Amino acid sequence: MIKADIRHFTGGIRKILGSLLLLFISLTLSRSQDGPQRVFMYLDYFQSENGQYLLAEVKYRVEGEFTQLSDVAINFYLNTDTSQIKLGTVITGLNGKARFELNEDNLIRNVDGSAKFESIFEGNEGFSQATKDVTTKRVNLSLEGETEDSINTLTVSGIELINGEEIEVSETDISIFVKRTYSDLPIAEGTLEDGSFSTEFPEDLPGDDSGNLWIIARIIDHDDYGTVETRKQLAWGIPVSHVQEAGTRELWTRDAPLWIIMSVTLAFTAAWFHYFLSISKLFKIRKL
Amino acid sequence: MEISPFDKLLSKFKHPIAQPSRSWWMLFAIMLAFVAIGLVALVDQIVHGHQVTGMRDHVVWGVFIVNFIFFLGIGYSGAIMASVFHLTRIRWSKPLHRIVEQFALMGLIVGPVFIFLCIGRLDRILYIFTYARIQSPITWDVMAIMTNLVFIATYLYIAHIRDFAKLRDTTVLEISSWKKKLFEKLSLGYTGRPEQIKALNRAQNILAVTVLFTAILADSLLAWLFGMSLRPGWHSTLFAPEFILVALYSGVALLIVLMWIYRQQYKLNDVITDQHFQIMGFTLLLFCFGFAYLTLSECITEWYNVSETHRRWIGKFLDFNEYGYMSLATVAFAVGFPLIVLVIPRFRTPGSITVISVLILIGLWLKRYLIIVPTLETPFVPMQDLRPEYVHYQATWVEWALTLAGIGSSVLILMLLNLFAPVIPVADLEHDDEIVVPKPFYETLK
Repeated sequence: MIKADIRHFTGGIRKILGSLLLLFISLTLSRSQDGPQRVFMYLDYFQSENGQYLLAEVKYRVEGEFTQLSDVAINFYLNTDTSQIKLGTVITGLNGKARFELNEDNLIRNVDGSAKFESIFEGNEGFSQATKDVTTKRVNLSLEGETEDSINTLTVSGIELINGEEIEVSETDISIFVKRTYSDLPIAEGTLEDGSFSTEFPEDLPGDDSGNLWIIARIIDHDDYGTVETRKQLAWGIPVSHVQEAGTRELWTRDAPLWIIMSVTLAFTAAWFHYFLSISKLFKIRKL
Repeated sequence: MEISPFDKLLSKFKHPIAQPSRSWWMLFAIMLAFVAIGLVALVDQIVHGHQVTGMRDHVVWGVFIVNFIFFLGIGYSGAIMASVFHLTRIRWSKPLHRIVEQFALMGLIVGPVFIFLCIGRLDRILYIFTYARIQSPITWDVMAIMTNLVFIATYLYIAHIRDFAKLRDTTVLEISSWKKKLFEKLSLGYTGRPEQIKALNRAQNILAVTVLFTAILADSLLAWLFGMSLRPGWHSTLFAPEFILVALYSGVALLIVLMWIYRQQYKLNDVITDQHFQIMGFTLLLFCFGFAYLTLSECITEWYNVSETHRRWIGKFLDFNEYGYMSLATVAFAVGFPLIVLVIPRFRTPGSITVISVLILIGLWLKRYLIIVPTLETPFVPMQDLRPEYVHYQATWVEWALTLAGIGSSVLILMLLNLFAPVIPVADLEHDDEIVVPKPFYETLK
């Protein structure tokens, strides 16, 4: 009976050890079979009145966290129904991003006005290949401001361009922002219907000396259009003078507060006075 | 002819004053090699920019600023101790005066070099003066460091005049003629006449008081540079007293290390006695308690802070994947081991006190690292979507090579100073029959 128990016990131990050994071997093998790291690619299309560009971003995971992949070549292509045309190559920067400026004259668009772009990272010893594509259409956004009865109204118009033909943009989300120092301040959100969207503009935003504000209308990451924006400067802000008043003495102004000047001058004058007093005693030594 | 005790003492400094020994030259060459390695790293940094260091957008300061604070701390503590020793006329401290004066100068020369290494555009260095804003603590710091450097260099010179006169007149050492001429110039015709003694004492007294105040002020300014920012771990009213206490703690530790080295090198057992180690060990113990108290006070107030950023910051010191081991090492080196050695009587030997002093110096360097880097890695706005080297600072070989060069140049400065004067002020000890060093209170309980 006891022998059977012992046999049963040792058998159990053997099984556990065997499982652990198998686990260790499989872990070791899986680790040794680790090939190039997986690369995640993102591709976005941006257009505005200043032009259009593609922005590819490549990342990989380090201990579960995304890290930008810098100094690698990204090839950009235009895919038509019949062929793939290489547009160019850009090396990713420290932020893992590669920006490629598009020239409309060099693009061949489909009948519906769309163009399919593809970005390819060919891969290397350390990182696997990655591709991403985006299909986009050309859109013209415009901003107009109108003041009536002291109410400022902003109107955004969106026109889709299909082989020279203009078609009003519909059922498309649009956001309005005002440019601030560090980021864009959201003002309104809405939908472009029959090519336009109107909204009342707030009266209490601080502007520059003349009350100018940079107003931005933006379609964000749309399935067909990508990110589209237009900007316009309007004098709809409250004029705020950023010029310092002459004679202002603060910690943050050009001229220091008098108490700081006096304190620092006094401290250093006292120290250096005693220093020279001490030196004057030294000069006497030779004569004594 | 019987040699006088004074001449006997002076003759111990034949090497290197009259003739540097072979071992002196060997050490000199090794330290020069350290500096050369640093110069290679510096060229790499100048050619390729600061990307060869571990410093990035968020962690804009690293080992360089740690060394800057460490060496300036050494400099200021040396200046404070030199002034206090002189003004209080503590007789038993006389053999130690020169050591503290020398490392004060060394710290104030080497420390500022590290701030230059942090500057990306060294060609714009003059802008510090041409575009100085008196409201800026950086401007105060530049003025304070320069003032202190001039003051302590002059103080060191004044404290040397009596010895220069002795070296000018001595026949015990075969000093080369150019050095004799130099000593003649530097001694200002001092012969020990009562009027000269009086004038020299006055000059030294005035400068000692000035150095004492300016060193405390300058170290406080250095602390305010950090304390006046709102960052967690820096914005603290405790910072200035903590900087001064930590500086003095590291200064006393360095003093003990140098006392041990010079005692062995020049066979000064009868001048730097075991009792000197005991009393300086007791001083270490006092600073150890002070350091532990301030560290606890700082941690507990930050820990009680409800701010999420402060909690993230303090959490890094408890996390062994972050700075847990370094925090533990700091506490062990600067508090734990010193307490064990200094409290248990059988461990209190000059050798063990010296070893513990070396550990304290390492611990206090780590403390400065913990003041700088974890704070910069914990901004109020969390860092997101960045490469790891932007989030976590890691010093590169360039920074370690330049740190090595800093250590090398520190030793070189001390070695060069020792070429021109003994490491103890022999003239001040001439008329002292016996140095009686008081015992710490626990020694009297035996």
